[in-house]
Amino acid sequence: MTLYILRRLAAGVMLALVILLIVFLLISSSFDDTARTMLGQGATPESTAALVEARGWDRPVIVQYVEWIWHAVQGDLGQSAFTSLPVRSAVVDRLAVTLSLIVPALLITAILSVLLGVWAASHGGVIDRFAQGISLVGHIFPALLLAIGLVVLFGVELGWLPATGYVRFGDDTLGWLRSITIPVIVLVIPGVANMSAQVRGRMIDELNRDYVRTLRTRGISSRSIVYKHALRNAGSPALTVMSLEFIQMFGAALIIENVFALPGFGSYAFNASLQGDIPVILGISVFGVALVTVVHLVTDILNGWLNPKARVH
Amino acid sequence: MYSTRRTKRRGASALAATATALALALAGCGADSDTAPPDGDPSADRSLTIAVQSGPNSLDPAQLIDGQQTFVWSGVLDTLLARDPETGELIPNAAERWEYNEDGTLLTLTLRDGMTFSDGTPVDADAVVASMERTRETPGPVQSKYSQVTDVTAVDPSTVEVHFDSFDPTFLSNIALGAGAIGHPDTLDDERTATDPVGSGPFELDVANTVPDNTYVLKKREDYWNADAIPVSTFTVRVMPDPTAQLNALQAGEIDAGTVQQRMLGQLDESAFTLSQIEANVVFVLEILDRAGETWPALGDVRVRQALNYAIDREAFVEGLLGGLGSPTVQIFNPQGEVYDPALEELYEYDPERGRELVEEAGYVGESFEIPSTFLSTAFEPTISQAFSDVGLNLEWVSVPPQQVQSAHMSGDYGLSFQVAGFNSDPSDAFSHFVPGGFSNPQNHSDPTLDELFGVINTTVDYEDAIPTYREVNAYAVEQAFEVPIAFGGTTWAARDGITYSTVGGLPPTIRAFGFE
Repeated sequence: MTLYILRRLAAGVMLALVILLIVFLLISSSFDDTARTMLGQGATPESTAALVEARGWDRPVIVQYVEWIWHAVQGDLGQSAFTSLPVRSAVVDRLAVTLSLIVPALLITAILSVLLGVWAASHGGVIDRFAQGISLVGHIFPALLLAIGLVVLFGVELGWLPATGYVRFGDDTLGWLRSITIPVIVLVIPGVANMSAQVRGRMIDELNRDYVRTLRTRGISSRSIVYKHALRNAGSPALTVMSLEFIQMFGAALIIENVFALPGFGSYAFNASLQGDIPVILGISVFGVALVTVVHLVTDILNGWLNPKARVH
Repeated sequence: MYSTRRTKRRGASALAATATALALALAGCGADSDTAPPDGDPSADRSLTIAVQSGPNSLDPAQLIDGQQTFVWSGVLDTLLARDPETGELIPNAAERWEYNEDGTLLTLTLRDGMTFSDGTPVDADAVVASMERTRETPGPVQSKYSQVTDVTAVDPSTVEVHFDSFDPTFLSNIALGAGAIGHPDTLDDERTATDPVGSGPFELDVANTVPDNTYVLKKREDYWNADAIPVSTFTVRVMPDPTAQLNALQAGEIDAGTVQQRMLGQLDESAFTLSQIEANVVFVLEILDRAGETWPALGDVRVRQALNYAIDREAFVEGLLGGLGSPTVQIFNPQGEVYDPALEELYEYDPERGRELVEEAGYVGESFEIPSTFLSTAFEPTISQAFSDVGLNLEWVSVPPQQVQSAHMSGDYGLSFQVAGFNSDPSDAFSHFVPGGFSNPQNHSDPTLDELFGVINTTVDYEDAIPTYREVNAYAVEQAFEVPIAFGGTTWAARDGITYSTVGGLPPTIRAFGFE
């Protein structure tokens, strides 16, 4: 298992190197644009060329790439071209905010989805249609509309929760909880809509299998069949969906962070892309690849735990 | 600028409003003033929280950007001069006097006594010289403001001399903005300068409670030389790019003031807010980049340029796309400035038939142009395309990514460009729009008449004496249709009851624009 993890991590590093090279090649055509944007309306061809040279952006891309990797290995991701803030700490700070939304949202999504999916699959009838209805509504409602509606209701009209802003966990735990409540709800609803449908489908498949019939004929209780046997088998694909949901939530976080004025990773990445902030774009790419690699690795390990056939040796 | 309890104007296109808001956040320039302190206790324990659409990129004096970013940096960094928020005129600030020599190649600044940085160090001529020299030598958005400066020297602790290779008519207004920001000479090159500089402004940054690019908390310095003019003890600036977030925060009582898009005004609680409208902060303009017609000969023909000015239905543009907050115009100068001429507005009344006649007369019917399609232009593209079509011309919008907007404008690949231009000072606007190499004239168009007029401006050191020549520039540029100005765009500030907001358009606001009843 250790070897497997190391192998996967090594593959993640290789993936990061390839992706960073691609990013480098893609943004290498924008070095002049970035310099011009940094200089503002007073930019001239001479001042632009001077800045490009001062930043070392006129050197061969491969040289810049290797140099950047060398610094990154030592933990130095450089400074933002526009704010001069160190990229590493800025990304980590932003990531902490986004993860503090996504992790609770994902846990709640997983619990609710399993409960709803299992309930619908094992009971059928009205309950199943109700669960499907919830899933449908969750799919139909755009996250942005949902976010605005909840803010207006709970933040503006009722005043129960903050309409905007973020409180750091370490500063005020209750304040943090209040500040993430609506954003987490906004992430959870589409998440549950998607994942509960997956769990329901897999559970129905499992409950129709021969081994379930055999278990029933042996007098095993329905509860035991559902939770000890069928759910364990259905859990594997659900985990895969969950890992994809995690990645998807990062995308949704951009909208959430804007609506709630949160200093998160999504808005940071978005602004860096708009400005062409090269060091930040590279830093975000590194963290993005690392995050995806780790999530998939953890998913595979958990899958192996749930399903011995998928276990790696 | 006027204030009203409530003004409802609906129907603004959401996209148009968004583009306007983005432009307003990016555009404009700054003002500081010697405004009188508010009645009674000026600040005591009073705090003010506002929302802006963009936070400062950097607090490094060499990297300052004007517009709404000024709120934060002008709190921490004092500027040499300022502009009166009620009139827009240059007024003393850290420099209490200034004087040019006869040919404008030497500017002598006399600094105010008793100023200190937040660490207690006196603000003296050496500090000013160090800041100016560093800004002059450091690549960044402010460096170009020093393009004609050859040397900066300290004559004595309170006197600074700025030497120019030739008179720069825009320099005084520039040092009322970022180019005049004073940094602490011993810490200017420290890492902290970008995020927490030692400044001599009215506030100190409360680093513990500040989250870069999200929330800036500023604490008033009681030892600031003009502390009485600062109406609050704590000034919090929250960055909210999304207008809906600003509106929600306002209504939830999380901020005291913020800008509100026209289309959202109807959602505000009538009794709880005071609305202040700035009628003109920016000008929406279709810029003709190839005025000489070198690549696109049609644009070099004055009849075609005039035809484009006749083609735009400016009234409909304001009502339909700006929600009524703005006014039609054929000029690029601030209507509250000295150069703007109301009489010129009678030219180019909407008359597409006249425009078509001019295009036919010039022999360019059916001519096509490419123009960059950017986040600023998206909402206005169908209207502008229709206007071209109405006079027998065609327009093709070419999508340009946000980070390449400026490059596309300056590249020479396009003959036209749609911009939402923030006002600076009248001299700066004149140079930016009409002088070869100016932002709006990147293809270096020159014209004998303009050359002659700018020749006069460049040798007239007293601005009052130069104003008639600036007006001639304006009249000539309108007559020659060097650009297609469409409308002035404004801003609406909403503040909780008891808080007022007052400044002339074109000046990016500072804390001193706020008053308390």
